[in-house]
Amino acid sequence: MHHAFLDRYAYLESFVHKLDPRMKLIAFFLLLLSIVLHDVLYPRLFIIYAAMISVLLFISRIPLSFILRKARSISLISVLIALPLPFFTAGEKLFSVSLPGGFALSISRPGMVLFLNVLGKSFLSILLLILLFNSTKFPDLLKAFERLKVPAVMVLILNFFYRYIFVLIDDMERMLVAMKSRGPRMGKFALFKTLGAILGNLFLRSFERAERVYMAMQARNFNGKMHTLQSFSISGGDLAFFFCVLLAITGVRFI
Amino acid sequence: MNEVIKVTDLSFEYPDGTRALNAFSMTIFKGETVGIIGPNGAGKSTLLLHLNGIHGLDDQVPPSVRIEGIPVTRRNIAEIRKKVGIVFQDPDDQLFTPTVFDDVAFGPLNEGMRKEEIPKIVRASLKKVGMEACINRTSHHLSFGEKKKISLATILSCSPSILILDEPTGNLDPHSRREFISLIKSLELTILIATHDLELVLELCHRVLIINRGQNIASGDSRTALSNGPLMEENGLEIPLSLRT
Amino acid sequence: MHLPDGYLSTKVWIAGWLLSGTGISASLKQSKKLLEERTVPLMGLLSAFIFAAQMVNFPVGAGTSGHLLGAALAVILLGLAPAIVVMTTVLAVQCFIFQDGGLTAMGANLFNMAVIGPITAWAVYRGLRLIPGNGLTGVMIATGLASWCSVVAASAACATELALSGTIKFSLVFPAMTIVHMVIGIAEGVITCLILGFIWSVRKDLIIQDRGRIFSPGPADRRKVVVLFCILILIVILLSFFSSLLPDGLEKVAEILGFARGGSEPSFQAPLADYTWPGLESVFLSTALAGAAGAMIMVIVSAGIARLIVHRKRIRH
Repeated sequence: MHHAFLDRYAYLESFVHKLDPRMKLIAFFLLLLSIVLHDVLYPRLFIIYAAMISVLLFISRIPLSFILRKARSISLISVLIALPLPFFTAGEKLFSVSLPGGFALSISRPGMVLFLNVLGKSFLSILLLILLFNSTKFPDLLKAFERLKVPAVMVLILNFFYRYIFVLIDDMERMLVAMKSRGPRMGKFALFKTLGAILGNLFLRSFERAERVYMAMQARNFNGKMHTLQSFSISGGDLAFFFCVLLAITGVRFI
Repeated sequence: MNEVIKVTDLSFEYPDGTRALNAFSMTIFKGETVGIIGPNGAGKSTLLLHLNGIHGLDDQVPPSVRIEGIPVTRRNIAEIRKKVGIVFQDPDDQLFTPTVFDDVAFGPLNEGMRKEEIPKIVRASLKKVGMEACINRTSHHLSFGEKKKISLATILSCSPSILILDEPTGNLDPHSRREFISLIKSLELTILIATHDLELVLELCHRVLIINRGQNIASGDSRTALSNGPLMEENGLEIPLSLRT
Repeated sequence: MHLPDGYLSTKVWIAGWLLSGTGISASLKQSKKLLEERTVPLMGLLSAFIFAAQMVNFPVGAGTSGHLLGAALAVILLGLAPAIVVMTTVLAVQCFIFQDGGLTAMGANLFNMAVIGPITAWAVYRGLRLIPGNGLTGVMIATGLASWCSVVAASAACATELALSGTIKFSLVFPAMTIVHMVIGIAEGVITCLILGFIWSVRKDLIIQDRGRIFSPGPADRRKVVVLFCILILIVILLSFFSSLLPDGLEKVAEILGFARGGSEPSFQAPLADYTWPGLESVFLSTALAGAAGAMIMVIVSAGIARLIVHRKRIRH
């Protein structure tokens, strides 16, 4: 069963895709850190970072529509949180509107600055993360985590998650189809109760499957320690990229 | 050592009280291919789980299962699991790592094989089941039949001397089923097959063992046993189509 | 309430990582002790379950639908430490797959939803289950309230982090976020109750019956639960206190400790009366009232669900 919500563009062939996952992770994280650590993200800085990210996006060959769609859905909530900022931050007022009832709605300069700062930073970082995670195959990402000393147990749990999420989604879809096939529309409560039953069922199945998987692991002599054979290698291209990123984030500080 | 599996008076009760095995005894000889048949709930799967020590590792009771003469106890468990390989019914339970390579490598890695040797073993096992092309694929992208073959490969990579299969042909389409049967025929191991597929038993198994209500009801030549109408009916089975005249 | 990067000041998101890091590693250790070799497959599969459950749309009406957070469900079915591990996995994956929640902000997000959420649910659930009785109504009310509290607590923590960062004033963000999540919390409670109701009718043994759970090594330590419950109430009271008598108290604290970004921002120094919610004189009162109302609604709805489940069962037999 193929599921497009994961790994959809991770199998493309581009320079970004082919970067060593560990280097990619560190480089992107440093770039992210660089953006977030600016106290004030001046417009010229924003443009420079946006340019850098655009170049990377272009090289990655991931469709722009896909990226923007993802960015849009996340950004909506971010905008909502940030919305009060121009109106409720003290400082020099940029413009004011009187409302009936004696209230005055005003936008302040510091408020606007903060608003744009916060939105700018979060938008750039969202783009960066979209690029990072959609150009890396999930198993490779996990292997990179392991190599970067993320606790082994956590990485293993993520591995199992990845392996079984599709199985569970298939199970769930089958149950939902069976439910829909039961004929005429159910009342609200019946629908909710059935969804609850489907999920309850899914829980029990997941639990029982975990038992069976554990038995299968024991049958192959599992004794608590999981081994991995990792096969990454760092190429000249990886090092060059990393160096460029380091250069960029230091250079930007002098502008 | 001719008796590769010897089960003596094995009884087992689940925590909720259901008695799954009732003084069950059986002997399997080297090189045999034996079919284990019986109605649902007869105790087939429970029996299989005793053969590699997943159930029944109770140190107080004298061990009722011996594999190649070695008693199945906590102390011997690693050795036992090297000799006995079980392929379970649902391949999704057995393919639990992200890639096919990792799954087939799992067994050998746990047995302490050197990391340099692993890729060779993995390739060889996948070759035996005809799935080398899938070596770097992710398990969830494969079809059911492919997953079944890879499950077998994950056990073959452990080089067991005894192979146990739980419902190997369940849900397989006719072509995959045929492929799987040829695969099993090509293996030179002691093989135990728990199944409902009576035609499979006729084709592959010299001997058959009927289990019902946790007991060993009868065992003998496949053809003879499966043609025995009353015996089949009594035990929730029926004479396979090919034997009906 | 997955915060993206850029909303929290440096000290706050680093503190978030430190706090959640300690909580999560402690839970990992505890889970391994409880589950031993089963830890990895069980936690992996159950994380996948929570993730899958979060994908289900519960159509509420008017085009909106509710989704499960799952912290309370995880706690009630698995116990505190495994629940924290499971929620961590789920949130991490949400960032990796959906880019929901930032990477630097992940520490804080984990703290809110994978540490505070489960702990609150655990304290409330265990606290309420100290009341004797194993009927469905009791279980449902405890479940509903625990779920509701977990969502509200997580949002309160989130609001506090935003305020400490100097992003939004506490007296604004705290009531706004918590009141919104008091409504969302009802949906969480309903969904969790329905799922648990099913499991209760099929496998009662998997739900806490005050004699511990399949994962617990022993019976619930009443003293620990009561203490945690009280601490929770205390925190709620303190926060409401802060938000009322000293509307900018938290910001002052933030300034002193240097949490807020760049001390040169003038917006966070002087309290300004015209910048609170119009019409609501006392923020404390409004938030507290909303909280009480929400909690009561949750109790009534949970009891109602219990009634309907039992009623339908009786009809069928």
